[in-house]
Amino acid sequence: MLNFGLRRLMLAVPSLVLISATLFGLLHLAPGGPAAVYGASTTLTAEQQEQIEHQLGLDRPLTARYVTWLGRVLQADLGSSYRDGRPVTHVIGERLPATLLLMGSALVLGLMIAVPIALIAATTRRRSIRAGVHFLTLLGVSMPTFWTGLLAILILAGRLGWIPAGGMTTPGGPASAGDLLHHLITPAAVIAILYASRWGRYLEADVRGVLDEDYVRTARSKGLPEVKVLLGHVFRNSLISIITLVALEFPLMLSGAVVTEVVFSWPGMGRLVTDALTQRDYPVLMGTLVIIAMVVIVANLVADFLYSWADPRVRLS
Amino acid sequence: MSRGRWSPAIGPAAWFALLSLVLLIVVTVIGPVSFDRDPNAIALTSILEPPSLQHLFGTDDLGRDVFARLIHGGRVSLIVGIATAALAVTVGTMVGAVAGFLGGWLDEAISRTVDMFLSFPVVPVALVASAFLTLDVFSVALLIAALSWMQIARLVRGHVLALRERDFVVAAKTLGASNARVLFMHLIPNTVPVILVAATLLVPFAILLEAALSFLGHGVQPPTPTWGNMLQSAPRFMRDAPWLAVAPGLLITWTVACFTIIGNSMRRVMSGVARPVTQREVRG
Repeated sequence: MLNFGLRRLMLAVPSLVLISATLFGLLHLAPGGPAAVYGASTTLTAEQQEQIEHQLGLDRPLTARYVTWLGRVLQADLGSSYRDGRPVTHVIGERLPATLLLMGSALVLGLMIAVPIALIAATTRRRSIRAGVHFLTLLGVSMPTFWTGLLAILILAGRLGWIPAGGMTTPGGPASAGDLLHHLITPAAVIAILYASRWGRYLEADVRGVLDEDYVRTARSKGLPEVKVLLGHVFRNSLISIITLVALEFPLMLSGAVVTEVVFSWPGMGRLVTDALTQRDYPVLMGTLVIIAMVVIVANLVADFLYSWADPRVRLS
Repeated sequence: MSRGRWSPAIGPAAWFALLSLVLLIVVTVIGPVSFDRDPNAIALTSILEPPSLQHLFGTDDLGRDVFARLIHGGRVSLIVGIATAALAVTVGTMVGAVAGFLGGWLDEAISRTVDMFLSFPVVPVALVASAFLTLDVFSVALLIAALSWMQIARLVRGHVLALRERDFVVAAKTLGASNARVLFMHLIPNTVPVILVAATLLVPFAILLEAALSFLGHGVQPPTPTWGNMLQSAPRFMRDAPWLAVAPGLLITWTVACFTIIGNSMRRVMSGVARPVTQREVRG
């Protein structure tokens, strides 16, 4: 187990370096990259421009710039924002909690929907119930989240006035948990609907597979009540798949959050990406992407560990 | 192959999905020809009109006919979806087959590259990469394909690895078949059914991603209508013209659901019936 863990960990480091190098190259070579931000200025003289580029280190070769950047990252320094000069780590530090709160709530809510519907669909003898669940989960995976969000705002906020149309808190209002929850519930639900549907479909198949196992038949034939069989034997086994699935899908969730955050004006990492992109704030953009990539790699690592812990056969490979 | 073994998987839902997709393709291909209305014709005298007989789905903020834009936008969505799947399948199959067949350090290098691409946060990276491109239909398809070929590569690699040791491959090698012949005549053809399923399920992914990118303003650029960029202006006119937000989203959902149903039915057929590999083996 330790050996396996070390190997995975050792693979994670170079892949993070590779990913950050690719992103760095992508960002800096893009038309309208950092150099062009100041190059486009008409008020600066050529010397002033050169001076700024020199200050920012933009006149050095790309690889040298990357190595410098990486060296700073290792000291937890992601540079400072082009826009207001604040350290990127501060900017991200402000936004990360909002995204984690949204993701965490969506995750919990998604599981609270996915697990019961999967258990019901897998065990019910009524075809209509199963068909209903299948129809709803199909709808859930097919609707674009930004559209679900738009409709929610249109109906719940616009027509009914039940929820605020966006943001994380009421501007100027007193900060309270109730207010936060009021803002949080719809965006979290929009993401949760998608993932509850994805996970529900997967889990149903998983539960159905477990139901065919010999130990379930044994548990039933020794007279255990069906509820105990379901929760104690079937669900406990599917729990492993759930954990692995969630860890594996977390990156996708994080990346999809960009869209939901934009729709709901949620002040998180996703909004930071789109804002930094329009403002051409490259240090912030690079920092945000790297942090997201890091979370993705850690999530993959966690999924690997959980998977090998759940299924000893994986450890050998 | 008896019919009875196929029929349980292809339920009414799959037939319905297939039929709707055919209908959708026919409408988006023939529609612009028979329904002669310019999707980009601006008419400032009739902006944000509600649905009527003249404008079935109303008009948008520039007075353009929403119905005409929906038809043209559907064409874009379908082209992006299918082109992405085709591109991703081509690249993914080649890469995966080579990695699985040749093995060794090349396989290791390819697999690590695939892992790296899989760790990219898709939406943010697509947003950044979109800066490189003139965002027309094909460059968007190229962009999405660049971020989605990995699953196919992984799948094909796994299958080729398993097939490599099979008797018919060993036999072909013994008969002196070249590497290229074994790869193209024996290994890749046997992965076609799996690839087809994966490709079908890639189409809805591509359609959804294109819609999201276009919605964020980093996909196919206006005035070319797509279902995604039609929703871009919807939030601004939510109060005065809520119909702008409904139809494009419904059509995206509908199309994505149809492809998903068909892909899943195909997968069920493949796992239910004897594995495609063995069928081929028996025959030839």
